Formats: sequence, C-alpha cells, structure tokens
Amino acid sequence: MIEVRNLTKHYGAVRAVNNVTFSVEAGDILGFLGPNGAGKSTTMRVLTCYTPPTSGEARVAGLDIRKDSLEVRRTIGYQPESTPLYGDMTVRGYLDFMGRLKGLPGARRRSAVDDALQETGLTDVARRLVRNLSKGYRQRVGLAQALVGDPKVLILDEPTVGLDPRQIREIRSLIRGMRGRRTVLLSTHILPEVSLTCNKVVIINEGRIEAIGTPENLVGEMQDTLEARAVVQGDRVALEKAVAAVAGVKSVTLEDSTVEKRFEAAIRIDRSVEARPAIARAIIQAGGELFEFRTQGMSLEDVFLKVVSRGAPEAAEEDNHGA
Amino acid sequence: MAREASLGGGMGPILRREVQAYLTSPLFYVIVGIVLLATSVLFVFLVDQFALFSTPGGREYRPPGVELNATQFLIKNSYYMIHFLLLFTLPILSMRLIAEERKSGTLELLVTNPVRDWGLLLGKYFGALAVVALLLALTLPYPIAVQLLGGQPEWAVVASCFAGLILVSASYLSFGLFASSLTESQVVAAVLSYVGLFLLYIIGNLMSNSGGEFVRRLSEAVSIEPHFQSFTSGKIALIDATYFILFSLFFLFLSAQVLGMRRWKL
Repeated sequence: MIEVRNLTKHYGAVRAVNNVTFSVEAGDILGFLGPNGAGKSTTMRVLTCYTPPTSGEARVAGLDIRKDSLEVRRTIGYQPESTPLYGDMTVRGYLDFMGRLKGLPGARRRSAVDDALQETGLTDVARRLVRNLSKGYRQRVGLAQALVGDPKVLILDEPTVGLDPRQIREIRSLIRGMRGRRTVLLSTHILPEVSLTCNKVVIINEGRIEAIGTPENLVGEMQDTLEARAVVQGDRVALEKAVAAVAGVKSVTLEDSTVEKRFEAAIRIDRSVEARPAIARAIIQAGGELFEFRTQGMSLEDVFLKVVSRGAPEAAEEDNHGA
Repeated sequence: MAREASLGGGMGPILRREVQAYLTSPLFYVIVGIVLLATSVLFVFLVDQFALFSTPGGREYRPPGVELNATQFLIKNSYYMIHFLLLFTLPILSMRLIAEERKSGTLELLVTNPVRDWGLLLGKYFGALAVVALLLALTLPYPIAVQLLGGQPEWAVVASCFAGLILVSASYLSFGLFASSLTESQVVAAVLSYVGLFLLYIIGNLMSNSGGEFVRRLSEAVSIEPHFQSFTSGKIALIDATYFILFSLFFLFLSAQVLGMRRWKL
C-alpha cells in the first residue's frame, strides 16, 4: 500500500532522511520509531505530498507522490504533528470543512462526518467549539479529521503525544481496531506504543533505517540470551548448584530477597534451548520451594537503545578520550 | 473530480471558511465600527458644511473653488475618507491570512488535502475581498441619505466610486496576502503591509522631483495614488482598472511562489 524506495530528503545541508526504503502492506499498522529529529515527520511529509523528496521514489496505493499528488492526497488521511486545528470552529464544522476540502459532496460528507465522529467518540461534543475542548478531545478531533471520508491510508504523526494514560489507551485501542481495515503508518518515540498497537516496526535514527520487522522478531533477533528471575526458598548452595547443572543455563546467582529465607535468583538461559521446565524441576528436586518464576524478554526498549546507540560508540569514545 | 483537478481546486471550501472566520471574529466588527464611526462623523460634518454653504448667509464662508454640488462635495469626500481608512485597516484584516495558518500548523493540514496552492490562495483572497465588499456595502446609506435629503446624487459616480474602492481593496489585500505569506507572525505581516503599501502609495510624489524623466514617469505609473483618483469622475478609466488588476495579480503570483517554496530543493 505504501512503498518507499531510496528516499532522501535534504533541508539545505541537513540530511533529514537518508536513503530510506520500506513498504507497508494493506491492512498493516506500521510503527515508525525513533528519537526526536530522526526523520519520522519528514518522511511523513514527503508521503503526504507536503514537500517533495530530494531523490528516491514513493508510492501510495500504487500512485506516485510526484505525478499523482492530488490523487495521493485524496487517498491519505493525515494527522500532522501537534495536531493543528481551527479553534474558532465547532467540532462538526471543522470536520465538515475537512470533508469539503476532500471534495465530498453534501449527503456523503454528512455521513462521512457522522462516521468519523462516532468512531472517535466525539458525537457528544460535536457542537462545541474546538478551542474549548480538553487536550484529549482535541487530539481525537485531529484523528477524526484524518478519518473523514474513510481514507484507505492513515498517516498519524505522534497521535498520542501529550495525552494522559487513559486517553493514550483509548487512542491506541482505536488504532489497533483498524488493523486489516486500513493501512496505518504512525510515528512515535514511545516504545510501548509500538509493541501495543503495531504489527510492524521501522526503527529510524538520524535519517537512516536501523531495523525493520515485527516487534516480536526484532526483540528475538537482537538477543541470544533469555533472562529469568525466580523467587526460591531452601538451601542456597544446593539450589545454585542444581540450577547451574541444567543444560542451557549460562549462569545463575542467588541473592537475599526482601522476604526472610527466600532468595531472588537471576538466571541467564541460552535462547536456543528451552530450559525453563527443567529449571523448575531442578529447584523442586533439590528440596527447594518455587514462589515465582518469570522470564524477562529483552524489551523493545532495549532493542531500540541498542540499535540507536549502535551508530554512537565512536562519538562516545571520543568523549571518553576527551575526558 | 474535474473541479479539483483545475488550477483553483479547493477554492470554494476555503473561501467559505475564510468568510465564516471573519464574520465570527471580533476584529472584523471592530474594523466595521471604526470605518462607520469615522465616515459618519465626517458625513455629518460635510452635510452640515454643505447646508451652511447653501444658505444665503453661509455662501461667503464657502472656500473659493468648492462647487456646491452634492455629489462632488459629499460623496467624493466620503470616498477619500473611506479609501484612507481602508489603507489603514486592510493590513490588519489581511495579516492573519497565511501567517496564522503557518503559526498554528494548519497550513500543512490544508496543503496535504487535495487542494492546489492557487485554490488555497484564491479562496483566502476572495474570502477577504468578500468581507471587505460587505464592509463597503455598509457605507451605502450615505448616498441614500443624500438622495433622501434631496441632494440628487449622481449614481453613476457613486457606482464608480464603489468600483474604485473594491479595486483598491483588491490590491491592498493582495499585498497583505503576500506579506502574510512571508512570515508566521501576524504583527510582522501587518508592519510589512503598512511599509510596503505606504511606499507604493507615495513613490509617485517621492520621485517627482528627482531622477530623470523615465524614473519619474515609471514611479508615477507604479504609484497607487494617481490611479484611484479617476474613479471619482464617474468614468472608470480602463488604464486605472487594469493597474489595480495587474497589481493584485502580481502579488497573488508572488504569494503563490512563497507558498511553493516548501517544494524547493535546496
């Protein structure tokens, strides 16, 4: 649905986006993840025909963003960064204006506005002035605006920024519910957002794509060791020895826990071996009690930090030398 | 579909929204208030003078060269007054046109919809012009009052004065639109309009005593002031109407270039 090939965008001497290639299948929700200034918004602005690329190609629904610019813009619903709105209009008036801009005729526009209001839960505030709404509602109006006319492709630039946790959850579940029905490209610098709403992730840093994949396999690829934690009770030395003897266990350390006589075990397991049931059995057989046992996958956050800092070691080293 | 594919695609909705925004903003009503207050004070003063000069005892107060003609005396002086007020209020009206959208980020919203740059600009421009036309229509009671007072205004002159004011407004607004497209600060846009329009207004007089014959004639041709006087005669001079239309087109064109700068490859 969205194809981007070797896209580069310069702003003067600044290379905001550098040779970026990725694609989004119809019905996918793709998360664009990167620190501030990584080139997320610039890529989105190119896709929405706000500004042309310096070089490279991009297609939306098979349409070239340069040759069929108007048609592309008709296909896309776009929520720009910081959700610009007209405060002097009512919610309905604003959505109606956006419907007019999209060229929807009378009756179809009315039902398109009704649908957008309903989908975003704004029907109750439809007659209120946008400027009198709370931040959460305004953010929803921004999303509703992108939804007017049921576009095939949604491009959302940080749709949850500045919301409280409950509102974030609402927006996320709204977007998650679109999977399969719409193609969504959303950007964020908040990690849980991606693992919670997207089925595909592009990690971008300093204008370059650093990693592409599903949240699960990105995490999987990045690590060969699984970290497990257990809360156990029993003879410390015996337990340590028993766990360490299990095939696939790389290391184990027991430390005093907050509860008396119980220990916290940190176990590192080879990912290629499923050693967890054997570990549990070994603890019991060694006369211990098992209170808690959980694995901590490397979080997307760890992946992200690893990926983003990959380009940085040189700079970090230089800093060290300087110090 | 065919409509949006044209050069002015998207003009309709933007024009509509612009008129709506002006009519719901206090600024427009403040400007209407200022214009109507100033012109009505002047009008009452003029009627009073005219009445004085018309009485046997008052004739001697009449300055030499002033004709005792209702149209000349009342309508034309009001026309100059309104023009003067437009010069000062239109930059305030036009300063928000693009600058506000730039500042709030809604410009990005507009141009990422199926809207052409020209459609956006013409929508904004004609929206502002429609509002100014409404403002001018509110001054129609003056010639009507002259008629009711038995002054028999020359309606052809009244019509040509209005045409002149519309054309002058069109020019000032296009310049204001251009100034507004340059910045995201409305204040800067207003100051730019004032400075620019003031220079264009007086350049004819400024250059009249300096430079060669060519420079003098060129600056007179470019200057606003000589062109709007002809409308008070009741004959719309083609050359002057053309001047204002070209003036408007020129600054609309420049605005389109500024708006298109986001596509520049630097």
